[in-house]
Amino acid sequence: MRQRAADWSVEGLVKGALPTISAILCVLLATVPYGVPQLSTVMPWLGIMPIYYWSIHEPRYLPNWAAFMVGLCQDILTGGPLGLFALIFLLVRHFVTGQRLLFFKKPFLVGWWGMALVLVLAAAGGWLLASIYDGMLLPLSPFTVQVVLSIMIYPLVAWALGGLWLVVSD
Amino acid sequence: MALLIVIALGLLIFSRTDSDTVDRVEAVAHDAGAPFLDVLSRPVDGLQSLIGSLRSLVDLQAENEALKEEMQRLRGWEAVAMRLDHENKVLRAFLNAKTDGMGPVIAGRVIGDSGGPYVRAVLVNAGSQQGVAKGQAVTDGRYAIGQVISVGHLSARILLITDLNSRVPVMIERTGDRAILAGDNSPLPELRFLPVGATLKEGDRILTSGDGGVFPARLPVGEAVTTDDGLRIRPLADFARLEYALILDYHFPELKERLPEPDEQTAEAAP
Repeated sequence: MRQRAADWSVEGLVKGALPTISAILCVLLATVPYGVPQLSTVMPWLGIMPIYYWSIHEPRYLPNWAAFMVGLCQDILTGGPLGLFALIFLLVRHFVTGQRLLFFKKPFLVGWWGMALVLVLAAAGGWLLASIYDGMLLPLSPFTVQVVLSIMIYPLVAWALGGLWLVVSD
Repeated sequence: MALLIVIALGLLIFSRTDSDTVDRVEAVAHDAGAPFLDVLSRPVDGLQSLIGSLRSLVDLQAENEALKEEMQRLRGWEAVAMRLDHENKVLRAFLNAKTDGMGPVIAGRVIGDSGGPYVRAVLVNAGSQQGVAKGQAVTDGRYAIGQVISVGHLSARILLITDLNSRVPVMIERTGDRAILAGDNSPLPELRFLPVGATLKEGDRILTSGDGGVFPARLPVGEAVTTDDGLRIRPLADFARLEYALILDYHFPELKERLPEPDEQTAEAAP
């Protein structure tokens, strides 16, 4: 990982904040009501995508605590168990950063495959934690559909984040 | 890292055990998020109404005819309703009956959805400033949709009747049998605790029973439909196209107001 001196200029601070802002924006976009029947149950998990993306490309700009805060935002906006997404995003940030060289500057398909793997594991973990929290097994099918939709939409989100990365990394 | 994991787990356990404090903290937080959601949801709303108006342009003629017909039919019902309303008032006056206290209705625009399979709730842009309070019943204008679970100054969260934590006292319109409508995060909640011998048939309408005092009585909720899983209840409200939520400032008549005073009772009992 390239180490650079901390950049305390205004431009540097804005650039440093962009990954977190993009993650919060994704969380907000997933929470807006779209008026499509049954979509809200299986809404693609947009919030996890920037966590995954920045953990690979610029982990220094999305530290553990930032991933935690983004997760907390999702917890609060969706009204789910408080701390659930904070925990999931934190773990995703931690594990993906640890394996980032597997995905960094590799063909897009590799990154896509990694995202799919993370989505499946994170959704399974989320389902398990929420089921324990609620004391009953949550219906599994919406989770499956959500994961499939999320995998399908990831290229679009990755493309947008890629544009942002050019700004952040130059 | 370890500290943050502990904090997250602590929050999970804390929110499970002390939901009141968490509700208050969450209310402050979703207040902070509400303006952003409000702004973001506006273009989506605009697009929806644009699509809606384009669609209605196509079948304007047919719709017009249908509406005229329906208006004729409803005029008849209006006359019936007015007569019954009058009769009702007169009879209530005779009986000296207490009516349920229904305050003004508060309208809130739906600005946030649950965005995932974990919970069935929506966020509206009306809060304590507009008079919203925790526990109030919410409708979409015609049908019961849920109840308020946390209130900030400018926003409130509504737990929908399909959420797995939702329990609504209901009755079957046809028979008057009481039951509890229990959500399980699926689109079709189920009817629990039906009395022995009660029968639920496909197509039966389910109304709120008013038991428990959260929902006013006889608000339509759903209808029974057959699934692989037996009979379930399909909510009448269209949760996907929920643009506004109407929050009912409904007061359950106090129990002591209903019961005669003790000395009154003894006076009546005396010969």
